[in-house]
Amino acid sequence: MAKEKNGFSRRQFLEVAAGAGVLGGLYGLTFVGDTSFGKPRMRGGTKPHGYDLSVVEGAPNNYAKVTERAINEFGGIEKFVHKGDHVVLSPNMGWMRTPDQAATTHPDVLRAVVQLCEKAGARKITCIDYTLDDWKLAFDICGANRAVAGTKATLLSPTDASLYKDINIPAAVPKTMDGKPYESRHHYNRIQQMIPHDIMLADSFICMPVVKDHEAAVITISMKKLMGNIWNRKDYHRYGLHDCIAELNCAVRPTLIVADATRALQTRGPKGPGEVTTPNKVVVGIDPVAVDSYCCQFLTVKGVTPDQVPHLMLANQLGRGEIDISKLKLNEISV
Amino acid sequence: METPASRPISITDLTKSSPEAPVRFTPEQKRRMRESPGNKAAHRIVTIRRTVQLTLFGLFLLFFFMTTVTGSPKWGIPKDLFMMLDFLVVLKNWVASHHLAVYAIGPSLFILLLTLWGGRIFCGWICPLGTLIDISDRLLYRKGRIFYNRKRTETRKYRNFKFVYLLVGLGALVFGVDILAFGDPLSLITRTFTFCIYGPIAYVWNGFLSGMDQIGLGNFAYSRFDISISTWHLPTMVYYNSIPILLIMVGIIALSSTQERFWCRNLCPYGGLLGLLSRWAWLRHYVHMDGCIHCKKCEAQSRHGCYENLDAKATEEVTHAITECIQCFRCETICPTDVIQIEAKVPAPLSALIFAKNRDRKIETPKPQPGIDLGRRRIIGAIGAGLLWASAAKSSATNYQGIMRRYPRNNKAMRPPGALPEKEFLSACTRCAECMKVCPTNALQPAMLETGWEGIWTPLLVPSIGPCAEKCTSCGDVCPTHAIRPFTWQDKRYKIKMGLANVNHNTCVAWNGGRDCIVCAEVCPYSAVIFRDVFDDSLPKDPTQPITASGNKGRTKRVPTVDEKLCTGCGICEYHCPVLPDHSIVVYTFQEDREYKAPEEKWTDGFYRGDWTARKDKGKDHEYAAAAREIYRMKEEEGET
Repeated sequence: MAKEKNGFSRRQFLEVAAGAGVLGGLYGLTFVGDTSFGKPRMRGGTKPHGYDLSVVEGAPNNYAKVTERAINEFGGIEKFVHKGDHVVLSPNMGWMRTPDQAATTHPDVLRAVVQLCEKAGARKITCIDYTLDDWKLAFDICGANRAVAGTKATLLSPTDASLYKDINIPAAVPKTMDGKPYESRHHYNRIQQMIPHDIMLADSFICMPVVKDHEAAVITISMKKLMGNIWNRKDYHRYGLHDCIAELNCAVRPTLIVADATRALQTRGPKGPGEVTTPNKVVVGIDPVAVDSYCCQFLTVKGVTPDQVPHLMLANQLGRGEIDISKLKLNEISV
Repeated sequence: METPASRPISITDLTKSSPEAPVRFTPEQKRRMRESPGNKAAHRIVTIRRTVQLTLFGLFLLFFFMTTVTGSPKWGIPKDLFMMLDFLVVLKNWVASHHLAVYAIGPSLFILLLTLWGGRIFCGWICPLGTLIDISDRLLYRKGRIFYNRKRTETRKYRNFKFVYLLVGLGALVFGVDILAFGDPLSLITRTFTFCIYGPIAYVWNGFLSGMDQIGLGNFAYSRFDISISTWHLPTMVYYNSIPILLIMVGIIALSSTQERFWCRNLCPYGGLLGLLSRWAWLRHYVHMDGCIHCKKCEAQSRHGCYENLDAKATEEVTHAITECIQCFRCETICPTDVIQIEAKVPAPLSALIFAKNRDRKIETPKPQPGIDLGRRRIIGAIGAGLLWASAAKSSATNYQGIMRRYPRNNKAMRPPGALPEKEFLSACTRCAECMKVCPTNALQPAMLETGWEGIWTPLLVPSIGPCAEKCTSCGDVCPTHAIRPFTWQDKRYKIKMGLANVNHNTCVAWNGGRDCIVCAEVCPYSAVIFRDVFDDSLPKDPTQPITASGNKGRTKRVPTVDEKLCTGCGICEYHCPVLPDHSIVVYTFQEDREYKAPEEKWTDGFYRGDWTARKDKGKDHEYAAAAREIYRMKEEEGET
């Protein structure tokens, strides 16, 4: 009869130690966060035809054609979306508002861009907007679901922090402004910002804002649109929206901007409902400051001019783009 | 260590009773007994029991993980089915909150009849907590395992604690204080799983995934195979009080090292209730003493220590306590001479069973029963103690501003939508934490002392952790006691008020300093936050210049105000408010409205709830229309003035 042992045998000890090691290792992995800062690897934009902006006007039933024409006039989608690219579109689809309330990108415009990207041979198309309203309902009501139906594109609202990656904004912000040293709002980890993993790894990033009034940031077009793709919005409101928006735009540089000025929300933005006008235009460019400055003229009710918008002024001083419309080379067409 | 039996016993000798006890068998005898077990039928029943236990435990886990936010119950199955098998919950809900859960009658009746026929079959075969204790027993405490304890006692000293707990609890229920919820087995295990199982699993899994990312596998899979492992992350759930609740479960399992199933034998109030009922049971154990060899295996190894006086020298008669037995069939299996028979026979008359220890009337019972060792005085004393406890709790002055006026005493203690008025809610809630498991935004949290001693571990809505999602009705759907009544999202919009948002003018970045922030208005799904222009002469007219005595004084600022009629207190504004950590728009329980009429239930709802979502809506359209019309009219009047 085997003698019963008191306490552990060596084998038992080894078993327990190995188990504890595996569990401890698993637990240790939980501390391995992403401490490294990232830089988005999206392709920079060019101006193939030499125009700074191409603006096309058309009838309300013709928005898809208008969008296609505007992109073609600017240089054609092939210059921005290469074959086999992962394309991320950033349309405005975060509100439970119908298309005619002008709070979201028009579904026709979105569908036209998605189809152009497909034609250019995109491998994968993702439409991202971190919605404030419930995303299931918002995507349905604003028409985004209908717009991407039957195409390769998928919609995504990254509502969990795990879908985001850190981005190094201070490294992208110029150290001087107008000859004086400039200290970034994001500096010294005061604000840590994250953008979705998909945008970080996208080959081509197309920003598709809608022209809207904004009660806090004066206007919300392509520069403010990037705030629809970040995780930490609270700090931006606390430390001042305009500085943060300008610096964010230094770090995230969209490959192409397709601003939807088919309708413009004039009051009670960004959610509305408010007064809506229909400029019936689509503006395409690669310079967010130029696009926003040009689109200010559509906000007629409040009569916004670019110099009333602090984040445009600041971005201009930081060298992000041109605020003076008279210096831009425009290509205005009507179909 | 004892020496082996000096006198070798052949298998034919086993029928004779031996003077020495306990008998030790030689390995040869053991082998032969294993080859021809005494009772093959009993072995088969034990296999069936294990299968049933594991299947039902798996089902419990399945239902637990299925309890997530989806529109309607999947396949019409009520996800709280296991909770309804626990008719202690139904009973105490009925006594304490004067509300009979009609839908739970079916499952309860099933368990009641099962107990009246077969004793505590629920404990041995169905109860997921019992199965969990059995599994951990097998993994930790058996021979050769690391916590093997040779001296597991079979003392019967603590056996009556469960009856005392039950009686004190029933006494307290009369005044609506529910202390049974802490020991109720189904509530306990559901609570523990919610707080201590899902969260850590998600935590370790997500950590594993970020480790994968760190060594570059994430990017590799993404660029090479279009697999985004970021989407494999489980939603992280965090809860207050998870450590004490985990410690309770660890304690329950640790106690098993002194006695097998310590919790079930000595402390479980539902076990006590079923034990009382099982005195009428038909399925009894019959011990034929003429073949007994007094090896005392049954006495030592009985799961709940039911056998007594099996020693050869014992003067009293051998007894088997049916109140303790959980019908695990182990005794019949391990009996080497097969003298224990478990049979279902019609028991003796009721009177005989009620007065089992009746001394003057000699009525034949199936087997002598040890009476429940609680004298009349102790019973009265226990119930009296419960009454005293509850009355003391209810007359506590801390409740004066609160429960006596039907509202929680703490104005930050918001209840989930559809919750009963505070007094009824506290007595109806069984603290099973199903609502907290199902909440998609993690907003429901267990209370500590926010609502007093009575409210420990009841759900609170904590908007700073998560808002009450606009179209979500899950907590009302899963609540097994209807402490949170079923509601629709229209109910939430037009009828229920969880609280009212308040703007703190001192910390709000718009009110104080005139900065541009409209987040609360942006996110409000009810359009209840309205921005107004206010002239403030303490602000500089030109923000870049300081105010001087001569001028540069005053400008308008856009500031948030809350429309009392439209606000429901969902807390999404508080969640998104950029002022941290104390948000400057905060929901308090002011204007809380819990006068809400729940939809009627059918008694079949305990089994099948396929048309539930449709039924919740029935007949409410005109009510919504009236409420919506009133809000619309009010807004128009506001616009005119």
